Amino acid sequence: MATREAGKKMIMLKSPDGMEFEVEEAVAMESQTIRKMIEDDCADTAILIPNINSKILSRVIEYCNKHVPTTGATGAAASDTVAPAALAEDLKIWDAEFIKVNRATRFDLIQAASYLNIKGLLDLTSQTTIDTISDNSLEEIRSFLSTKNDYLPEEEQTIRRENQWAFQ
Amino acid sequence: MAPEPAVLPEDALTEVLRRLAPHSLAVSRLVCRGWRDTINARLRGHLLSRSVDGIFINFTQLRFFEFFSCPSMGPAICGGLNFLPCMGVRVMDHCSGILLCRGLGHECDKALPSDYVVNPATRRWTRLPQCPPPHMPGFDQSAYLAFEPGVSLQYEFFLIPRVLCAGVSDDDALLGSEWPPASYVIDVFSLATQWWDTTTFIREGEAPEIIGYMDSHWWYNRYHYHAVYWQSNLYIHCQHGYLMRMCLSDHTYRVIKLPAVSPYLPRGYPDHHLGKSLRGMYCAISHKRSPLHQIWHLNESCSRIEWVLNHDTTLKTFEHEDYAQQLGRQWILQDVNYHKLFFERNGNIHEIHRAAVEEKYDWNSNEDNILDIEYDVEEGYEDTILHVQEGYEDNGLDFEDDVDEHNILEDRYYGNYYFLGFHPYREIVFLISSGRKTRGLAYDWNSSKFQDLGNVGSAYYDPICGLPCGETHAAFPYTPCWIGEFPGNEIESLYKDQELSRKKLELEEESNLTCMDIYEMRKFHRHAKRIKDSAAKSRRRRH
Repeated sequence: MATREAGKKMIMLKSPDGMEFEVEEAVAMESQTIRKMIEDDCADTAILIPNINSKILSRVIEYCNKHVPTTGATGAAASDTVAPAALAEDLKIWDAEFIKVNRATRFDLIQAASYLNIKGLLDLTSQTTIDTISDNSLEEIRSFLSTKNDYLPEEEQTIRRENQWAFQ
Repeated sequence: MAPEPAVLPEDALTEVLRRLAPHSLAVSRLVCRGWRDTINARLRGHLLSRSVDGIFINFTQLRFFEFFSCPSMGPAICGGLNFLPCMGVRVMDHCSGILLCRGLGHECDKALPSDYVVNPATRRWTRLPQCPPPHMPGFDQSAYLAFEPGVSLQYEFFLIPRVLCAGVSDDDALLGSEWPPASYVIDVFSLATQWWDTTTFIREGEAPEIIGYMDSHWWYNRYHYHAVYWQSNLYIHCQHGYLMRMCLSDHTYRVIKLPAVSPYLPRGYPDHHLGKSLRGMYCAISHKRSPLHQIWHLNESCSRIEWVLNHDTTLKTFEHEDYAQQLGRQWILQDVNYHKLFFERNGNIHEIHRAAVEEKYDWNSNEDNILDIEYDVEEGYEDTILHVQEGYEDNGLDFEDDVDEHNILEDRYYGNYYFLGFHPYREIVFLISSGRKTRGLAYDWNSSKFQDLGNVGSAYYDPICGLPCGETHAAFPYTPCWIGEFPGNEIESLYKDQELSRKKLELEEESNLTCMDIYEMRKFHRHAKRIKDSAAKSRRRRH
């Protein structure tokens, strides 16, 4: 057990604003992008994560820490005592709490999840946006996402005519 | 809140949009240019729905195609294709959400029927230019559609010549030649040239027959869909009992025998249904008045292409409570024929039809549904499926034990099953069970489970007359394609049609009607004629 703990490989992640985060390899490998780097042996020392500031990166690591599959002796013991369903329920509640952030942070998280290729985090962070797009009118989508309608008036006319089915 | 508006960069936006349902993705193309360009460039394939939105069915007794539609969250598909300038259609072929239709006019309409390419989801359509005549005298030809919108929007049509029947020609040289020929000359309509071109396909392997000795399988059902397009191969079931696999990329073709039919089958003739499903090409064999069903898969993974028997079963007759209705998730037959007939008689289709078709359902098909594969549907799977053979669950039906309770007639097969088609992305076939009630069913052949979809009996039928309710000529499950562009519309010769469609859309915008002004005119003419007739009558009476 002790050797296992000691044998755990640590990875250093660096944000562009100079902060360094030491995380377990298994946690870092939740990100497919980092996993690929590690597997290709490009990660001897620290990995610089461009475009993601320390505030967002720390939240991403927090998410990965929570979601890393618990393997090994400690993990097995944990999952023996707690039923998987209860564990999943617990995780769901944790996720719901995790995603209570403002829009700018959520967008940063989407961007980070997309760059680091963390499927679970991407699913979680983009869900609100997906719901908005699915349920609202074009104007509401535009205002929610701060996107401007840059179609020319005649272009918009054409679009409306050609996509009559979408406006019912 | 951040002071400046937060905007997603393109990569992240793509990831978000990728998660949308196809029709929502199609709508979000209209948000701004950036989104449109992103979707056009990266997510075009995602505009193709992978769930079956309904089934087009041509019932034997009915004139027009019916649409048995699945309740869904998206915009309703108008199965009657009322936006076309014709009374109704017969669907000649279909591929990836677009249809090749023959327009049917009013019964007293003498105008020549015209062919259309139609996308029912986006209501875009175009008229197909006239087909060139067959190259050889004594031959006929069928048109087949090849369309892979994930790759390109350029659809193609193939006119495949076929021998009508033996003895049609007395040319000895022709009768002595082998069929299909070593180099098969085929007319292809491609959008790139905007006209018909001739392409020669070279045969690999042997030809099965000599024209003079060829015998058409007389049970070959000419109404069925005999062609399937999959991964740039066009598979065509020919009336002489073989399958042609045409490779469109290198212009070669080969002849494949159809799966063997067991000699132990009871009376009744094999009915072959070709289809595309999870792992490629499949062929279902059913028999008229027999409950036997076989499903074969064309295995192309090894060097030899061969048919593998996937499933062999005897479907039992079963009649049960309306499970789908109880769950409030019924599929609905849009009753196209009934409404068109009603319109013909009463001249006002709009209100009734809109109510029936344009209604948006609030049923979320994500749950409890074996058919929807775009989402995770593993949980709740057991609830709506009727277990027919091995599996016995409390909420399912067990055919061995509960015979009386559920009116299952096991020893006496008196109902009929009619094959509707394969689910293009799952190992599911659609059937009609026509006994006392006419129900649409989905059958998962791996687990031998049924799901009841709902009533497919058309209101047009009068059950008292005892007409065979579920008998179908042809049917196919329909998966919508939400791609807005329809390249055919740019063909110069089709400007007229475009005008017509624009006029139609304006009319729709103005008065919220779905029907063509052409019908309004016709109605007016008929009205005028009636007035003229009655005036003439009263004149005669006066004399």
